[in-house]
Amino acid sequence: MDILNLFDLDILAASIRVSIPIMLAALGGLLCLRAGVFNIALEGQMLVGSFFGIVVTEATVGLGAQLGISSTWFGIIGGLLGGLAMSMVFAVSILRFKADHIVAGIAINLLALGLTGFLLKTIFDVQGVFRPTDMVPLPKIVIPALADIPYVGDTISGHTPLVYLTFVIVLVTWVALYRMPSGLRLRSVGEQPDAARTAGIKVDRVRYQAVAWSGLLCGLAGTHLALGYS
Amino acid sequence: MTLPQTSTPVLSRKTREILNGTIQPVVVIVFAMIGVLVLLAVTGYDPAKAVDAMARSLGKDLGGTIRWTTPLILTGVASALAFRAGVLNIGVDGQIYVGGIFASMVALGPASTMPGIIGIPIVLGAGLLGGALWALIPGTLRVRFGADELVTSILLISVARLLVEFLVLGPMAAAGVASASLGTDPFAEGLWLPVIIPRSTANLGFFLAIAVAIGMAFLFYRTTIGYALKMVGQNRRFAVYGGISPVKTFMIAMLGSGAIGGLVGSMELLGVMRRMPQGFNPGLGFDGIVVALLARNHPIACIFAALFFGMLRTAADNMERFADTPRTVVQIVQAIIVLAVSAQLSFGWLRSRMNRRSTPTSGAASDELTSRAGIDMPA
Repeated sequence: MDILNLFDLDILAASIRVSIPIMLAALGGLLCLRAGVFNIALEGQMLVGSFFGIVVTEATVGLGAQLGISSTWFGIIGGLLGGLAMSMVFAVSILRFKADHIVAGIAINLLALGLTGFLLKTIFDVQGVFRPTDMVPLPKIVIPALADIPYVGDTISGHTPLVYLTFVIVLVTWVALYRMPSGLRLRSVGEQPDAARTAGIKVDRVRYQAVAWSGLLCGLAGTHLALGYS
Repeated sequence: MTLPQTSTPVLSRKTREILNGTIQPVVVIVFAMIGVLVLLAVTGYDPAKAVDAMARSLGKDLGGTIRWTTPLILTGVASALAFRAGVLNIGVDGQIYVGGIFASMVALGPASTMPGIIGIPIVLGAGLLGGALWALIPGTLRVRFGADELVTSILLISVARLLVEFLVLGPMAAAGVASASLGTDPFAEGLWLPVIIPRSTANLGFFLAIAVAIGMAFLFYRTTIGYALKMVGQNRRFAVYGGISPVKTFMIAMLGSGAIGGLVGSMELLGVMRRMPQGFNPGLGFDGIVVALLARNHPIACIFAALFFGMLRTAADNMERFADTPRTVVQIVQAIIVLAVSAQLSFGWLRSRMNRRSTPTSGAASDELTSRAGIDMPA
C-alpha cells in the first residue's frame, strides 16, 4: 500500500467522524478527573447511551414522520438520558455509598454490557447486532464557507451536526473549566477537596455534576457511534 | 446483620466476625438473584425454567461448575494478593495469556515427550514464570517511572491477547489444514490434566487451586511477608516507619499475582483446551477481581466465592440452552453483586486508595513508591 494513501482526503474525513465519540468520551473523563473522580464507567455510559439512542429512534419513527423530522433527533435525546441514567448509578455508588471508583466502574461496565445484551434480545429478539431498516440518518450539513476552502473543503465540511457540535463542546468545556467560576470550583474539588470544602464548596455536589456531564457526553458519544455513520 | 451480643455468649469473637463477614455477601447475593428473577418475570421469561436451568449447575452439570470454579479460585487469589498490598493489578487477564504462551511453548517443545508426572509440573512452572514476567512490566514501570500500574496492566491485556493471536496465526499455528478455530497443535496426551468428573472438563487442577488458596492463606496470616503486604496496603507510611520496604513488597504482590495468573493460563490449556486456541481466556481475570471483592481478599473465602461465580457461569450456559433465557442476565447479577458489595464492604483499603487517587498532590508526595521514582502521579 502506498503510504501516501494515509493522507487521502476520504480517510481524513472518516477520521474526523470516527474521532468524535472518542473526543466526547474523553471530555467526560476529563471533567471527572478534574473533579477527582476516576471514571472508568465511561464505557458503560456510552454503551447504554448508544442502546437507548437506537431504541428511541426506532420507537419514534412514526412520531417523527408525523412531525416531519427525522426520529434520530429523538434518539439523540434518548441517548443523552441513557448515558445520564448510567452515570448517576455510578455517581450514587461512589459518592453516596463510597464504593471504590475502579470497582464500581467495572461493575457499571458489566451492568451496561449485561443490560444492553439482555434488552436487545428481549425487545428486538436479536443477538449481537440490530440493524433498524426504516431509520432516517442524520442530515449532512454543508457549511458554505468551509466547503469553499480549496482542497480540504470536502473533508472538513459535509458532516452530521453532531460532528460540528462536538468541536463546539470542546471549546465550551475549555471556557467552562478555565474562564468560569464553576470551572474553578470543579478544579479545586479535584486538586484539594479539603480546601474546597473549607471555602464553602459542596464537594459531593460538584462531583455529582461532573459525573452527570460525563454521562451526557458519553450518551452523545454513544448515540453518534450508533446513528452518526450513514 | 449483627447477631445480638447477649444471646450469643457461646460464640467467640472470631466466630462472630466470620459470621458477619459471611452474612452480608449472602444477603446481597440472595437479593440480586431475586431481583433478576423479577426482571425475568416482568420481561416475559419463565423464572421457574431459569431456576431449573440454574439448578442443573449443581446437579447434572456439576462438572461444568467445577471446571469454571478452578480458574476463578486462582484469579480470585491473584487479585486478593495484589489488593492486600494495595496494588491494583487489574491485568491478570494478560498474565493468563502470557502464562498460556509459555506453557504451550514448553508443552509443544521439550515437555512433549516427557511422562505426565514430570512434564505437567514443568509446564505449569513455565506458566507461573510467564505470568510473573508479564507482571514485571507494569511493576517495573511503576517502581522506576511512577506509571500507574492500574492503567499499564489493563493496557497489557490487549497486547497479550494479540500476541496469542499472532502466535497461533504464524509461528505456532497448527500443522495441516486450517481449521475454523485458530490454535496450536494439540498437546501430547500425557500432559493433559486428569479429569475428575466423567464427561466434563473438570480436572485435577481443582485440587491444585484449592491448595494454592490454602497456601496463600498461610502466607497472608502466618508469615512476615503476609504481614508486610497487609501493612503496606493499609498504611504505607507506618509500614515504612516499621522498616518494611514498600518497593519490595509491591513487587512481591505484583509478581506473585502475575505468577498465579500465569498458572491459570497453563492450567486452562492443559486441563480444558489441551492446545492453545486464540482468545482462550473469557475474562477470567476480571471475574477474579469480583471474586476477591466478594471474598474480601480472604483466600479461603475466595474458594466459596469462586464456586458461586463458577456456578453462575455454568448456569448462564444452561439457561441459554434449556430455558431460552439470554446469558447476559448473569452479567447483570454479577454487576449488581459487585456494586452492592463494593458499596458496603470494601471500605478499608479501598478508601485509603481512593483518597490517594482523588488528592494526587498531597497523596503522592507522601507516597514512598512514587517519590522514590522521583515522579509524582499526574494531577
